[in-house]
Amino acid sequence: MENKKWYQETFDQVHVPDKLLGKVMDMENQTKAKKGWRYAMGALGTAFALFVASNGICYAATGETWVSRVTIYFNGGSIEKDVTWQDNGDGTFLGTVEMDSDEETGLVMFRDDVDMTNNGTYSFEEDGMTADGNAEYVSSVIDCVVEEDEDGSVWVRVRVREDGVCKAETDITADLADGFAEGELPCGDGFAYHYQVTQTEAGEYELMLSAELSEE
Amino acid sequence: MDGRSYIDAVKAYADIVYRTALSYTKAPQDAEDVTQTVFMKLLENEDSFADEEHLRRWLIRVTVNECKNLWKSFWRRRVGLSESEKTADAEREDYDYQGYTKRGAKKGMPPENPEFDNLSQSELYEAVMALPKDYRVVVHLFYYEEYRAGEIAELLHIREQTVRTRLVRARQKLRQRLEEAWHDGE
Repeated sequence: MENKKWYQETFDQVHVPDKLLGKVMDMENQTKAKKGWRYAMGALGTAFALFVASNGICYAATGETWVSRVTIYFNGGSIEKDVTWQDNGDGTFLGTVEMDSDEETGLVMFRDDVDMTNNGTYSFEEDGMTADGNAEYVSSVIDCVVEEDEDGSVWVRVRVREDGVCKAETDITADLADGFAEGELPCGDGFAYHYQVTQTEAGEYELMLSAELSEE
Repeated sequence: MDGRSYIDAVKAYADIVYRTALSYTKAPQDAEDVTQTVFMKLLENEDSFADEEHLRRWLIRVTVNECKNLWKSFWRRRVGLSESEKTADAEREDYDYQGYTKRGAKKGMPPENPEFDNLSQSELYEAVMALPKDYRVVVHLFYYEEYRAGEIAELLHIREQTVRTRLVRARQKLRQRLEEAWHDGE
């Protein structure tokens, strides 16, 4: 049998589960309902922000940082937290959450799609995963990937997701000789990206990426 | 996107999105999460699509991006890459499809993976899922969606030569695993 036919006949039997299909179709109705909810939350958010302002923290309208309330889901539960947002001036925002010691520390989120006029409740779902140490949500406008070139060299590259333009790259071939490479990748976007690449026995690359506001 | 177009798009492309996500993530639960996210983005999308192929490519592109996002999420990076893949692999070892039992099958737990008509299909599925993820998605887009290497390169934002290299290597691995059943050169 032809490989293509064999492949297609095999994957023809893979279907989206009925339950999920129903859920996806129903999302349209949920979205309509959610628009009203968002409006209501916007009013609450403003009240909350004024409260924060009276406690000495800058409010979005008057300064570079502001605070909003988020619900963070993790470890199968949820907590509500104040997030201090900072406008990086390049269309991205940095949000930092202070965590109590028994909740582990330093959950940091990057969001470039935060609606500044609507300080409502933002949800970040990571069911069943464990949060510990520092965590970053990398900007949704970039991709960071490990790529093998034709000559066998291995590169860490940061690309703009929309158009695929490479913003920064570094050759890690030599560093990776012992199966692990680590370093910084400045992209000129106000963040310093720190990468750790591990080559698995199966020949795949595992990439850990964290980002911090650059001092430059 | 208006309601009617959205429902039509879900009916037409839900399987395509799910299969592509599954070929990337290889974990059905992750593929379901990605499928949901992709259609949410479609619902929120205000741009129009020139034709069906434009919509299809947009959905595949967003699916791949969302799969990458899943990979980059902190918790996945910390525990997911190793743990969820190991778990999925372990379960795959414990199960087989459609009564083709392997060692150590667990009782009372439904298999997460699809069911197939015959053993050769389940063997091919296993062989594809055993490929590195960068190879899996290229193989899927080539053999199932029937995109050419140049089109896959565009969809994945990688060079055409990289697509060809991955296809060659993937075929070699499939050949090693499936032996004569997988013909070289296709």
